[in-house]
Amino acid sequence: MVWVDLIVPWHNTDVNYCDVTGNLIIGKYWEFTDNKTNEVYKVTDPSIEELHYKLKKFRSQYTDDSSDGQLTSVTE
Amino acid sequence: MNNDTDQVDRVGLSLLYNRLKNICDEMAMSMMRTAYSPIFSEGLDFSTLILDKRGQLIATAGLNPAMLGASLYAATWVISEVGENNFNKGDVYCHNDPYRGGSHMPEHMLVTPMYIDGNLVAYLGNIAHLAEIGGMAPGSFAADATDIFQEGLRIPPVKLIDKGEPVQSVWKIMLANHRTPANTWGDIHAMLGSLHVGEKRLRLLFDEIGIEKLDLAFEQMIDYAEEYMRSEIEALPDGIYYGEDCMEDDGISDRPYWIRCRVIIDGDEVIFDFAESDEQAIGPINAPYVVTLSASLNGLLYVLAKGVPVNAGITRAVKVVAPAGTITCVKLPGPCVGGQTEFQPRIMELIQGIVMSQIYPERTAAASGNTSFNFLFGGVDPRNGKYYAHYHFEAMGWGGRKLSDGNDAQIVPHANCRNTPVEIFETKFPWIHHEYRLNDLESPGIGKHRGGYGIRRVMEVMGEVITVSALVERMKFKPWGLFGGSPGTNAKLEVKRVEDADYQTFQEVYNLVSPSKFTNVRLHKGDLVRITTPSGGGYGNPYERDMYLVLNDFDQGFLTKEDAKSFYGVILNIDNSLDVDSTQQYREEILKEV
Repeated sequence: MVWVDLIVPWHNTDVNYCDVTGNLIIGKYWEFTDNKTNEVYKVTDPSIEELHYKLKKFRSQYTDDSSDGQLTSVTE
Repeated sequence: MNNDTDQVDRVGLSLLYNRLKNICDEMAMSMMRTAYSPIFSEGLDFSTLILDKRGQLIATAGLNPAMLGASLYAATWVISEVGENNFNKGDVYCHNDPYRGGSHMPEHMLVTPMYIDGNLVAYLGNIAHLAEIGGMAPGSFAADATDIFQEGLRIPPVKLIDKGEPVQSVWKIMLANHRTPANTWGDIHAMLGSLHVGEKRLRLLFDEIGIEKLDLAFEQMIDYAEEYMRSEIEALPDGIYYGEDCMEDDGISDRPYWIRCRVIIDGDEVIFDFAESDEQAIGPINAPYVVTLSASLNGLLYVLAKGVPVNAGITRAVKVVAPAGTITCVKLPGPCVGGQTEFQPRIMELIQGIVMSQIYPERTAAASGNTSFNFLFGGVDPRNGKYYAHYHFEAMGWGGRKLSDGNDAQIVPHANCRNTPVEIFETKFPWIHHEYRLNDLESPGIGKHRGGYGIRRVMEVMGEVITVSALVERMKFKPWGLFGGSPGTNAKLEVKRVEDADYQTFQEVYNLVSPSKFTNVRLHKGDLVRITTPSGGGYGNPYERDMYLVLNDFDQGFLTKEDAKSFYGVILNIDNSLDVDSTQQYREEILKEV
């Protein structure tokens, strides 16, 4: 768990995305290793590490709500 | 103000916040009155911003909520990328890069630092939609673009003004790549003027309050917004809520793209998780991260927190998860011009309507027409021989809600822009109107509160050739109703060429992949275009609609007697008065059958 400076030459036009949220990473990123999978994540700030673990917990509770192409809300 | 400490009390904060908002409003008026293009002067497609010295949003005129995400993040990223120490008094940075915090490329952000006695005290900014920025289609909305390079000139954060002097090389590149450089020149100068107005007014406020105290008040305002949001979220029942909606196609292939959202209420925080959404589209309907953020916040603000100051504090209790490579967070070089205008309202209403109706039904609304109905055109004006290009958006019906019918003929809710009057339209561009009216030929979504009416516009081409493009939604899927209300109606875009006997869709005439998204169709003098915008969905059981409202719709010519009975169970007498007893009896019978 450490802040890492994102050193990018001025002529480099690549874009860096937060591995968890998709937000842009500008200047520096927070790097952490998942405590179960050992996967390394680059994220925008330490609060996203906390979000990562919260999401793991919540995603395990997701039910299959998709209407598979039929809008749930259309009433016709 | 509380003079005993450096803190400002709540009343003082409220007054101060309103003064800051007034400065933003004055900046906006300045832009509106000095711009060259109708999209500024009539459409009001812009926002003005005050940011603290850390780049955090403090106040905005809030004319265009669609720009909220960029307002919150883009300036911060510009400052971070440029480096605070590299700013000088009189500098103005410009950028429009969706891959640097922008929403889509037509929207340009200007940011300038403000110094007092050599110390940085704040930044001022604005974001505005330039009507033409080059690319493959006049009006810069290439509905069949497959990468961002086809969408116009992309500008990373660069200095447009250096210590008060124009950076000519940057201006020259920009003006050389836009089809209507005179408008770009005028509109960007309107933006620069607005920054000057803002700086003058904010300087007076700093002089009056003091630098340290006002800076502390900025922090207090942000903390207050966070506290307010957290208290509103905490009042909601914890849980995981689901909703989905789709973009009907991307202009490249005939398939829908699905947005799937889990809204997780967890104590005083909320997470919007879009990870199950479809992969990013080939065509330009994708959203950059800030657009999905903006839509999520707007969907939430629509239902909660009516009095919350809109500043950096509103994001602290909210997390938006939009994995890169999905339609909710486009990866370079994906195109995304339609993300801001079509995708954002879809997410916003998905959250405020489909998801929040499960939690807070009395504060939600059925779907609006939910398209900006982007209609772009350009050519040479026969009246003066000059090239013109225009980005036009169209009004439609909003969804019915708990206490009232949906609004008629308004721009899509997330954008809050204004209709352009016919007189301005015809003065600026070589079209002549045959018709511009509420579309009362089709009923909006019926319900206890019905949807609002869309519009119908018929225009004739007056130039020799006009090149038109469109990026529209809701031609295949209708705007949904809520709680027993029925869906609204679809959008239509039709053409009747001089040689044709009747109107047909553009898709039929020009053999297009999509009925709603196409680029660079050439129309000729005398051709007619008919625009029909969608109406809103209905809210609640139509048999519970106040029978006097039905009578009023009949009197206005919106309903026939037969419609009144079949849609709403309302019976009118031969003299067109209301038959109250028969109506009650008829409705009771119908409700018993249900």
